[in-house]
Order: sequence, then C-alpha cells, then structure tokens
Amino acid sequence: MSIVEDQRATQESDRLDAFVDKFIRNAWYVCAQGREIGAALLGRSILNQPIVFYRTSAGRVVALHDACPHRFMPLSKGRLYKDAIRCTYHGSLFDENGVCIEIPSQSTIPPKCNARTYPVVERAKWVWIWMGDPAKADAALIPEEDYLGFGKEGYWTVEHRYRRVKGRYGLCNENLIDDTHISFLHLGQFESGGRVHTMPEVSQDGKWVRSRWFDPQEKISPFFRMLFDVDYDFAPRALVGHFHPPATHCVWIEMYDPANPAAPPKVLRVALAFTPETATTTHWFWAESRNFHQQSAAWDAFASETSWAIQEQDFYAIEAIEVLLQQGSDMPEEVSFKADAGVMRARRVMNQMLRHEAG
Amino acid sequence: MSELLDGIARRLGECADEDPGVGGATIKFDAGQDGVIVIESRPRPARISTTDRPADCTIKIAAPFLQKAVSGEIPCGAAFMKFVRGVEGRPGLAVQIQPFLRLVAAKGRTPA
Repeated sequence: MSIVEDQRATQESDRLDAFVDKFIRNAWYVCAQGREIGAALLGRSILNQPIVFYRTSAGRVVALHDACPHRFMPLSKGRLYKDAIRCTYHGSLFDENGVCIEIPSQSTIPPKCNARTYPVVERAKWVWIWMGDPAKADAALIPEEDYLGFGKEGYWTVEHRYRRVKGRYGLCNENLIDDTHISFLHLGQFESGGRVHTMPEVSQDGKWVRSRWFDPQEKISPFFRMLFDVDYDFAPRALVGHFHPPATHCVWIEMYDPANPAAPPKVLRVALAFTPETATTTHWFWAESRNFHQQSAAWDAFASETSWAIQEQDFYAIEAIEVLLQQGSDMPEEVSFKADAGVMRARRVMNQMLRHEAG
Repeated sequence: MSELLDGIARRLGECADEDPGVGGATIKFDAGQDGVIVIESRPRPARISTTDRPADCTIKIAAPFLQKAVSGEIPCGAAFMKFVRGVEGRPGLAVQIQPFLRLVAAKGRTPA
C-alpha cells in the first residue's frame, strides 16, 4: 500500500463508525460488578455473545456461553444445582467447566455437548472477562486495581454502579476522552466554562492515550467548593484522563491549594469501563474514590449522587447521538476539531488493535 | 418570606429532634427575595427559623430548588450540584447537612 493509500485508509478508519461495529476480542472487559454475581444466574450479553455468570460455592466466578447445546435454551433461565446449571428445557446438567455431566433422557453424553467457558478474573469490585483466544488471556493485562482507585493507598472507594447505555461503546469512550464537552453539556456544575479555551496535553504511551488539562487559576464553582471542601475563589486545578484501550478509563481531578500549590492536591478519582453489549449498546461501569474526607458517609453520598447525575447528562447525549446514527444515510460527513486530538489518537490505537487482531 | 419557603422551614422543623449532623454549626439557606431558613444545630433539638442571622455556612439556593432537594424529587446531592449558586463560610457544612435533608425527604414530611 502506498503512503497516500495508507493515509486514506487511516482517515477512513478514523471515522466514528469505523471500529464500533467490530469488537476487539483479545482484551479484558469488565462484565459485572462482583456484587452482581452470586448464587443466582446472571445472563448478560458481552460483545454480542450471550453469557451466563454465577458464583460457585467456593466463591469462584464462572462464565459460560448462555445456550444449551441441545436446543439453545438460555442456561440463565435454568437453575443452579450445587455448582452446576440444570437447563430448564430438558434438564441437561452442565458443570462449572461447561461440561455436560447429565442428560436425564439418556445415559450417554455426546462429546460436543458442552458449553463454552470464558476466562474471568475478579479484581476488587469488578469482574473481567476475556472474549477472545483463551490462550492469550493474560491477567497481567488488566489495569492494576491500585491504578483504578480500588484499594489505592490513601484513597477511599465511594461507590460503584452499573447502567446499560443505549449507545455504541465508541461514543462512550469518546465522551470520556473529550474534555471540551464539559464546558457545555455539564455547564456550571463542575467547572466554570473556561475549559473550552484551553487545550489539554495529549500523549501516548504504548496503547495508553493520556490527556491532562490544567488551569493554574480556575474559578472554582459552588459545586466544587462543596465537594472538595475548599474556600477558594480561584485555584490551580487539573483534569487528567487515561484511556486504556479498548474500554477502560481512569479520570481524576486534582484540586490544589492556591496558597501552597506544591502541596499534594485533593484528588477525586473515577474509573470507568465500557463493555460492548451489542454493536449499539454498552455496559457502563463506574467507580469513584477520593483522598479526602475518607470514610465520611455524607461525602460518599454527595460524591456518588453528583457523579451519577453528571453521567446521566452523558447518557442523554450518547443516546441521542445513537438514535441519530441509526436513522441512516443522510448524516453529514463527520468534522473533527483541534480539541479532538485525544479522540483521534484513541481511534487510531483502536484501529491498530483491530488490524492486529485481524492479522 | 414566601409561602413555599415557610412550608419548607415548617417541615424541617418537624425533624428538628434529629441530629442535623453539622457538629453544632449554624446553616443558612439564602433564597434571595424569598427569604432565609436558618438551622441552629445546638442546643438540641435544632432550632429552625426564618429570621436572618449570621451562619457558619450560607447556601444560596432558590426556594423551588431547595424544595426539590428536601422533597426527594431530585437526589439531594444532585440538587445542590445543579442549583446552589453560591456557598459562603465553611463549604463542607453544605455537604454535612445533606443527610439531614435526605432524612426529611425520606420521612415524607415536605409540602406537596
């Protein structure tokens, strides 16, 4: 391929819809909050694959393809029998390795009568699943729980939540990477509106795409005065975002004391994971931690309610765009701005991963 | 004093036997032309009044939005984030008072 052709291919692949209907399978995705998986069966589609989750009596999380190989009844409609699933249709029994161990109507078990298993790892609050080649499922590829804020020394995990978003995961990713929407979609709530005039520093470290926005003298909104418990009119403040492709983000706010800017800042840290359910719907996982007012129920509630309220504004935008994208062919050509540097870099990384996976 | 603010103050007063959770501080909701609500957390029970006086924390919020917070129509934290237009004094007290407001909302004692 010539350079010109390669550039054209890159531009094509930078388009929003260039990757979102193609899943990167050799990657870890968050599939559930640990507390969602217990002795009851949980059915959930991941990357368009139906999966049934449960926890064994020993506490291990199991993920099986959610279809009985006999007549494709969802196993999640069945019931647990000890640590095995009894299909509710004809009673076949599958153990935690997906092996059929009983067919009530016959004594022999066909060798293909198994349910596919998926590698899963439970780390702190979240359960991660590997949908690709099991031989490549290296748990070391999962972002460190310290990094995500779970159990990070000096931090307190506030809460973690889940929502199904009716929008493709590419939209979710880009919402997080794009800082400038904050000045409008979230106007007046957690910043003063000045962000749009200041470009973030964008960098890349391997697959990681990183951005850091900093204002040495930002006007502090009433909300931030309450949340960070600071009595400043203006203060140095940073917003840092790290994108770990294909679907994990760590975002944090650093609030510095203007009288002592060299002192460690107050930090509010948010981890998000966007897992494709289908090509146009996403599992949205969120967790939040902070290094101030730790173990305060009042701050837990305030930080949780407000962070979720902000995310509801994001859901509103993402779902509105998704409706439009699905309406069809009369969309104008997408235009990007200078402020989209992080988004475009993320798209390129995602497309490189897809091309690499396709061989 | 607006009728709405008076109603909010009355309902807050019905929960005055509960601990406002602000460690003896005085909180003021300043609703502009509609007036103020002052919560004196000490001595117990807390004293709720609509007479202006100095406070450790003054929260500027319009009466209809304060009503949304104490009625549970909007989660209290989200209401504060969206509708508080200013905080004077000790800002953290505006967070510490919220569990008390949630309690008022949960008891369903707020005016319709």
